[in-house]
Amino acid sequence: MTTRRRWLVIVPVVFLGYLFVYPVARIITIGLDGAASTLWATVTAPGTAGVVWFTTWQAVASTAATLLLGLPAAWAVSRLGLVRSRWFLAATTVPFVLPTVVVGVAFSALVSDSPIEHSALVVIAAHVFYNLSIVVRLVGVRWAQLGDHLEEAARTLGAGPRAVFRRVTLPALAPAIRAAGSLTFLLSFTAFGTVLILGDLRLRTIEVEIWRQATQRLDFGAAASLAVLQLLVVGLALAWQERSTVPRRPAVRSRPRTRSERRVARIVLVVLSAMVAVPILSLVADAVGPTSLAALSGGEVLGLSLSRAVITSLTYAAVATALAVVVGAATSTAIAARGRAAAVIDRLVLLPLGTSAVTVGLGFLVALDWPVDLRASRALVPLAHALVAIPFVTRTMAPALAAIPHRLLEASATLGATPAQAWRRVEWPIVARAALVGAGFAFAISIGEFGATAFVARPADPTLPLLVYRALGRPGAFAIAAMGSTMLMVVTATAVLAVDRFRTGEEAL
Amino acid sequence: MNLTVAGVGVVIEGTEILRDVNLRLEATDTVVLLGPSGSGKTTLLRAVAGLVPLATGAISWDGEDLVAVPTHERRLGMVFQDYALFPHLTVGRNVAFGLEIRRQDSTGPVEAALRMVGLDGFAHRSVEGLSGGEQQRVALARALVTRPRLMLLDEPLGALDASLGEHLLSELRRLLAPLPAIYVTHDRSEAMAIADRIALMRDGTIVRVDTPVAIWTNPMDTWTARFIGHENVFEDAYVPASSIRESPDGIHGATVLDRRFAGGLWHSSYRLEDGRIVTALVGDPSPGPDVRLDFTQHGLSKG
Repeated sequence: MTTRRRWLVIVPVVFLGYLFVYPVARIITIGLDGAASTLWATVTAPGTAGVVWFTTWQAVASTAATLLLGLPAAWAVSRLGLVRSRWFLAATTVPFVLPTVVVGVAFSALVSDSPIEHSALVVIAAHVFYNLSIVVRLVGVRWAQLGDHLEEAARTLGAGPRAVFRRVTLPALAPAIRAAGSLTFLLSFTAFGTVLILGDLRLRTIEVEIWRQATQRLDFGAAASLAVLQLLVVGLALAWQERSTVPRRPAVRSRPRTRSERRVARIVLVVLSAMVAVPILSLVADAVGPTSLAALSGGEVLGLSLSRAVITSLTYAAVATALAVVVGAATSTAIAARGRAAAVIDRLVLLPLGTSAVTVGLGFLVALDWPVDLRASRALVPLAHALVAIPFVTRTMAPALAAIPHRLLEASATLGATPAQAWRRVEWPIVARAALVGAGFAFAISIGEFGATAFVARPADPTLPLLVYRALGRPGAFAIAAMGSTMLMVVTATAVLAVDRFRTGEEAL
Repeated sequence: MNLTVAGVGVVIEGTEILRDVNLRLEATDTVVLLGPSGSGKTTLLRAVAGLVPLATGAISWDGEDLVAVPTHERRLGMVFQDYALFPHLTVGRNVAFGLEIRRQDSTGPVEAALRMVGLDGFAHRSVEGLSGGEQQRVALARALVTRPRLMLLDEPLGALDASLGEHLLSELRRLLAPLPAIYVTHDRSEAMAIADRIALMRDGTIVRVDTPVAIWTNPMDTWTARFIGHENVFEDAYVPASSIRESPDGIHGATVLDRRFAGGLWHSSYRLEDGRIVTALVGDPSPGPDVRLDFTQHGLSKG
């Protein structure tokens, strides 16, 4: 029965093959065209070195700053325990799930007309804001799970507090710190929306430069070359990250801490929560005004209609979510059936995540004119969104499916159920929750997606994030950008927090 | 060389876990804290180690108050229930940890300690791949190599299967012989096998300290008699199963309720004339349901 299911692997193979592997291959061919001369020309072009340098140093600085602020928070979370600090974990998760456009607009609102506007400092601050939860979640949860036994053992062996930290705690946390650091680096390195908005094209990461070359200067050769360069760096970073996976350990009950420790931990969390809240509040404050309310109530203000963008975004998100869940479910079923091809797909499906949305968008533009020209089609946006969302759906559904005891399927077969009936009556009811969680992620991703959409959306039907970006470029329309961002924030945060709650419920079962 | 625990109480998050605990440990004593789960055994051990603060009372070593001495300066060795081996260090580095902290030479002592616990040649192995028994030995070597003045062991055999535990028990006895030790377990046969003295714990305090033989032969109250495994315990007395004999001129009439062959002996249960039911292992069972029994009976206080 499961052998037959392995054929479902054809679904992701076709989907990913046409929408990801083929476009990326086209990018590489274009990028390396003419015996690597284009690549060489681009890499040695006067502007490129500056772009690569900025991309790298801001990513390093963002990572360092995120770790610097995130580690005390991780400590505080471990001292208070996961249950007591769940409000903080939820609060720091909000920035991470916010569309990058929203983060960009929030920080714009915060620093507009100040001397640091459009400076690297603001970009780094935005990246810290965005990535803080990675450090807090990965390191904090790990720290809490360490329990006290190892530290106590070290104390009974004569280690004082500093020796305990240096010799036991830090080595135990190292894999989590490495994982959080490399993920933060990767996300900062491939940053697009925040840098595009906050840097105003004066500061450009490789991603922004790819977009500029492709859409402003219409130099697809240069864009493709830069995309190849970026793929190389991201590939190396991912390979390194692969090696630093955090070993899973059974959760250990932490013992109650001293009162003063708890007090310090609470103060740390309150201060950091306030730091997270400031940009969000300043965004909301800028959103409320007559222009934005007019744009919201259906009319077109300064050539921008918020309500139409909302409808466009919701429509795309619904289609993208449906697509992602169908393809994700087929992929997960194939992976759970443990075929050899599925093991490869399990990896392959994650690639669009690591490749950056801008590359996905560029790939669509350079490749999807065959066999039919899809480049002007409305379908491109939901297809791109589904591609980015499928990894999330697969990562939620595949483990849930794999956890279903094979005996249940055997039992349903002995009771006369066909494989399809077994799926519908036994497996689906069990994994429906996971599918819903995956759908929530897919929806949130689609609503906020900016990088790929910036390439493939038709100018006449901007999504909400695109409208926000457009509003930023029009004098007097900042309130509309802020209102659009606020709406995006509410929708994505609600979707992700609802999903998170659902997932917690699932674990509780 | 002695440890004194006087009037110790421990309160954790508003709950009184230990109250008025008194215990004295001499020279090479192995004292086993024995009690049902939740009776406070592990907390007492952790209090001695300085891992939980005292609400009341004092703990001292040779008259020196230990309460203000932090754990890492108490010079003790502790074996944790889950062994708490450092996953990022090899077997050798785990064992060397305490010596390295004290900046002492570790090569020779680590080798010797590993040899002592039967893990020659394990120094470069990762602790992740070790079996439960091997992990237990590493934990023991790690604690012993620093030459602690007192050993604390928290259910050290608890995570092992029974036959392996049995085997390690005699080794533990040998290794613990030269130094004072407090050993926590809820397993009475393990306690009997390893203890010089047993400290019985109940509801957060020590209710009795005595030798295993004294506690077995004279449990004094019904709770103790039941807890240490006597079978025929009644309201105010118990009948040691080993004293029950079937004999044609026995003084008690009884009816056989059940007999099972238990390899060499027969596990038998009887209803006595007064209605009480007793069980025993007997060698040569009489035929028929009605038999005569001889046994001795000891009085107990209600507990």
